[in-house]
Amino acid sequence: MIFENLEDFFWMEGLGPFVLGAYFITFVVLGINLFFPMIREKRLRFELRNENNELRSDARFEE
Amino acid sequence: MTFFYRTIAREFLNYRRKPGLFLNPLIFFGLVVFLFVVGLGPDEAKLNQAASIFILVASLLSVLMSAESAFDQDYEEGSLELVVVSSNSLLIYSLAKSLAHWVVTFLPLILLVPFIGIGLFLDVEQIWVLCLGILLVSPTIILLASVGAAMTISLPRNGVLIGLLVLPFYVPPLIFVTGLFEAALLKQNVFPYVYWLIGLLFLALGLAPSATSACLRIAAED
Amino acid sequence: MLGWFHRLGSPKTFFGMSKSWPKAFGLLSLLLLALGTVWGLLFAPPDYQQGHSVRIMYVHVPAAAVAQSCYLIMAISSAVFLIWNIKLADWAAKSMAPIGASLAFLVLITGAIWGKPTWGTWWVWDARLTSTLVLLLLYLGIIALRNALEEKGNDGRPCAVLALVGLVNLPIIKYSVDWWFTLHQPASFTLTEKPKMPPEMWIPLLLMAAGYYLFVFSVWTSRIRNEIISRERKTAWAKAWAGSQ
Repeated sequence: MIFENLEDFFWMEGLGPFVLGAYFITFVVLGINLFFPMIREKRLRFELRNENNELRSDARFEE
Repeated sequence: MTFFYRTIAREFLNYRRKPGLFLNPLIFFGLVVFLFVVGLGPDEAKLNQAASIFILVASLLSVLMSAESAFDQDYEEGSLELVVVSSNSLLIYSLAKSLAHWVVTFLPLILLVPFIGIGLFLDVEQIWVLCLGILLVSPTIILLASVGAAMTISLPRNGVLIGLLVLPFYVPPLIFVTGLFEAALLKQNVFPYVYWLIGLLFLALGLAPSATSACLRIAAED
Repeated sequence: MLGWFHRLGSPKTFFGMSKSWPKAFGLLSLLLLALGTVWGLLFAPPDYQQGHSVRIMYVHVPAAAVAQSCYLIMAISSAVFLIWNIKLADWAAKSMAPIGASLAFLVLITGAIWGKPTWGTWWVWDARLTSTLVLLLLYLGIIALRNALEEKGNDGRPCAVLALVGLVNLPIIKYSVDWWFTLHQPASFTLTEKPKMPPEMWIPLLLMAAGYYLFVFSVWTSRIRNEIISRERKTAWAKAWAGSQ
């Protein structure tokens, strides 16, 4: 390990905020990219299931 | 060939009937330059340095305005479909449209430039170089704008959208034209930039009409 | 071989084939990214000029490479769509655009953060950063056009044309911005990119690059699957998929 202790890691000779900030933003962007499709998939499942149920209940009323 | 001439003649007739189509962008151009002058102040040195660039950028923006409705009217009338379906070439149609567009947008501009140059304290050499730069870069700009217009036919408020689509493509010609201006300012050889601009022009001439007519065909077939 | 490609063009077949791809590639990519991050942050040596800020390179450089690759993939999908009229290719291009845009944005942000301590300013009109900015503008234009077209219910083909025109323009932009940069800015600094990197530096870089690529593939596949379901929602197999689980 390059750093002696945790304090050194966060400080990085004054560059800590920059380096860690860059990594943080990177993971935020990657996380956004990861989560939006997951949320959309859940929503699609929900929508399609409701459409199915509506159609089925419509069919029942037709009899 | 007569289709080419007839299309151009139709365009001119259109512009004569609705002078707003080319006058509005021209006035817009004048206003933008005026705003730049107001913003920068009457200091001669500052104006002199940036004047050519202002005029060029203002002309790029005003082209976006006039490109908005380049194909819209034909699309709504149905004459676009006729052209697509007929044996006439869409390539020639888009070339003719671009040529008419260029004549009506940039010829008045080039004529106006000396007068604007006087207002911005440009000397005669700089005005010549400015006219040369506009002459070399304007066909490329028009061709690119017509690609943008073809992509956004029938969309409302497509002027800004065309700008968003087409501005990245304006960057290389703009870079070389400003290089031209700087070289002229420093009394260096301007010909490398001239050749670059001519090269970009031929590239645009080769590729843009094909892209335009592809998009026109897509729009007409919808 | 051609048969496999032809079957790949069917949305239903692709959907079935790609069932496990998002999770599998996603997990693998997260593993590689974690490894690369830990190595880059904790074990890689600091640069003798820049000190610890060189660690930003491990997130910035791979993102730049992948942002450009995304554009290439998007352009190829657009070409496939235009030439062979395979709708799935259009959906693939549509799915790639936001990913590429967010990566280009990431490149610019991490570049700015890298620039501040290293060269003293947040933004440098560096040839590379400027052409990445243009790349971001191209992505945004494609996304804007697609939104406008979908609002009206029109075809996605102008977007495909735009992607291809942009592809032609990319080398021109790179060259001209490069030249513009040397014109307007004296070379007062050099990027410490291409000196011989010791393995302690290029292995984490490679890990991060592989992680980025696999991550993008996982997210891209996930988006395409969503697009397929959304557009094929009336079919029986889509309804069956929704009903299950």
